[in-house]
Amino acid sequence: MFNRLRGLFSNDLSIDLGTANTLIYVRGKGIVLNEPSVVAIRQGRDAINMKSIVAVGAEAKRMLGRTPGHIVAIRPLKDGVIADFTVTEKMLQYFIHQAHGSAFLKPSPRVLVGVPCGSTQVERRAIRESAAGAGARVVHLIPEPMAAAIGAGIPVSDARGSMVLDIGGGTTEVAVISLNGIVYSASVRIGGDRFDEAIVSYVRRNYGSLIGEATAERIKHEIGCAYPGNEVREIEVRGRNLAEGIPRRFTLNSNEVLEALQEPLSGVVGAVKAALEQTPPELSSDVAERGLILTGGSALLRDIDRLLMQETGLPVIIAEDPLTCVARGGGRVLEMIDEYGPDILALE
Amino acid sequence: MRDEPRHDGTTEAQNVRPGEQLRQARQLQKLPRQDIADRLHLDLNIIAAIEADDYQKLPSPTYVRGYLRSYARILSVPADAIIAAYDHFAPEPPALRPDASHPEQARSSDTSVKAVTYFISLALAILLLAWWQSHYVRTSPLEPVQVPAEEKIPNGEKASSMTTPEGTLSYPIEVVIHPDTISPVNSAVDNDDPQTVVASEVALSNDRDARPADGTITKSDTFHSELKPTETDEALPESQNSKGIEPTKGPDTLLMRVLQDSWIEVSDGIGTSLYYQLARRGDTIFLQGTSPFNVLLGYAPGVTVEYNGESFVTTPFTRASVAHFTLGERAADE
Repeated sequence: MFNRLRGLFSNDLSIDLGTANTLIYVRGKGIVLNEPSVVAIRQGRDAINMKSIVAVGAEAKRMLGRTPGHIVAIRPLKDGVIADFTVTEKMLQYFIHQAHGSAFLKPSPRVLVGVPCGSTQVERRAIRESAAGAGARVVHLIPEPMAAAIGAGIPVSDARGSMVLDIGGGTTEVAVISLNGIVYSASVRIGGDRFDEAIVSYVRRNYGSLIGEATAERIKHEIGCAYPGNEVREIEVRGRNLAEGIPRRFTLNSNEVLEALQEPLSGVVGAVKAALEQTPPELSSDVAERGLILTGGSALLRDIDRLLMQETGLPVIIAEDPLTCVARGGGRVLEMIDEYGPDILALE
Repeated sequence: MRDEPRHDGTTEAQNVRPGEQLRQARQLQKLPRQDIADRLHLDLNIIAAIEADDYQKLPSPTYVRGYLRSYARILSVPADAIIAAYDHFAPEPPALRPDASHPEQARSSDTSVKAVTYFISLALAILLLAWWQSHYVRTSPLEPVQVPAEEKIPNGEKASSMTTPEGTLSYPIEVVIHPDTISPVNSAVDNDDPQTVVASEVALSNDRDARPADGTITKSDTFHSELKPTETDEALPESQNSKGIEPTKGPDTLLMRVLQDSWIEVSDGIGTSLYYQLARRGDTIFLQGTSPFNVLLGYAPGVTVEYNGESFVTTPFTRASVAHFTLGERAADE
């Protein structure tokens, strides 16, 4: 009863609980929060104050790899699912509160969360309970590719096949959608994080230097590419030389990064090819005619569409604002639930 | 990452349809349409539809925007300008724009919500106060409606219980005491408000046999009025002057016929209890005394009252079968 009253004063939220970033879309307002999924925790001395949150989001991300002994900056989600339940709950609580601003009543919103389609029941339950623990009144779960497709503006209700490839921080989801449902879906645990790890290991192997994940991410953002282009870009980075033990400066170019990313990229291409093999022929024909839609933060990797076009022979389209597709799509789904009822989509 | 320069889609670019712009750029670079179709992995008729700006033949806007962007990139044309032109000429607005017509949900910080909340809180507070006033202050059984006289507990004398054959009788009397005249008594005295003190549980004898036949009580050593006039006294009605009660003239009569068993309490103008017991069905109670009479009927529907030969209706004073009222001149004064 009291929850319902609080619900009157709470906005419906769509949350893209991603490995790298968490985005919150508020109905009628748009994306109100886009923060890294990072939490910094201080370890207390005594048993009473065991752990306390130091920072959440962008502030915590700046602490990654730079913390003293008693503070640890962690990413509570791994491969698209919850790795640390309590910390995820605290993080969500913080984000939901941030999205609502200062409120007289503690917010109790209706929440829709995108989950990887390859996640297990246990993983989904963890996400549901985490959102409920963070104050959500009602929790709906939606497969991420479905939310991404709706967010990208694909007419999912048509009797035509559409293929979506959502490359996130922890997972890559590929799905064929028709008539508001998923016909085929697959999930591989490759994403932006694996790209970063690949760059770290490439630098260690070829330059004998260690760089952190934050540096690897910066390299990926600035000169990363998925297909050889005409222009070669360079970046200067500093890393700890393994042999000498002192920081060394060296220059990386985009071709080296492309070489570093070959392994995870081939994993993504393999997932798309496997999906095309499994797609029923009618839908496959629709996909071949109209193309494959790319969403997710890693869709911003330069020339990834060209790589996929080359490898699959399909037209590949990068959605508008691919980073926010899942959150925006979730918001649209909440509106659809209000308009047509909860059975419009296969929600949980 | 994508680093195409952002263009605002200025009027010049927007005046030309996007397909037309791309066709002109392609012809300038002398590229055949088939070449573009091969590089984009699209059908030739889709490329033709794009260049002809025939959006009916093309799939949904999401795809068209993607095709235009890829086509523009092949020709090294600023993609944002092409998209801006498409938005300008598009047959329908791009999907998934925030629904402007969607009503915003109420927030606790909204002024209207705050105003309504304060109004409701205030109204509730007023209602609660009114209820408390009506329920506890006026009908409290410990507080008589009429207080006939101000009485003073003599110095040094305890408010002791006087035992009668029927048992101990006690009821509260409002006593006005000048601070100077107060000596320690056992009654609860509120020092913060020395003017008016309710000395509760002052025991009185209700031995009617010991009283004169007219029911008035004579001033005894125990109860006498020798209070000095105080500010409080002045504020009181004259009939309650510290000089004592001036008995109103003539004995008044009170006749009660008991139809159902009922508890009855009657006290007269100076607080003397005339009747204080359970009246049985069929009883007729005739009382004489000095008005006003304080009457409490435990079961009012079961008792008919006649005052000085006139029938008195108890219904307006009845609450949950209990009637509490005053008969006589004092009531009329008020």
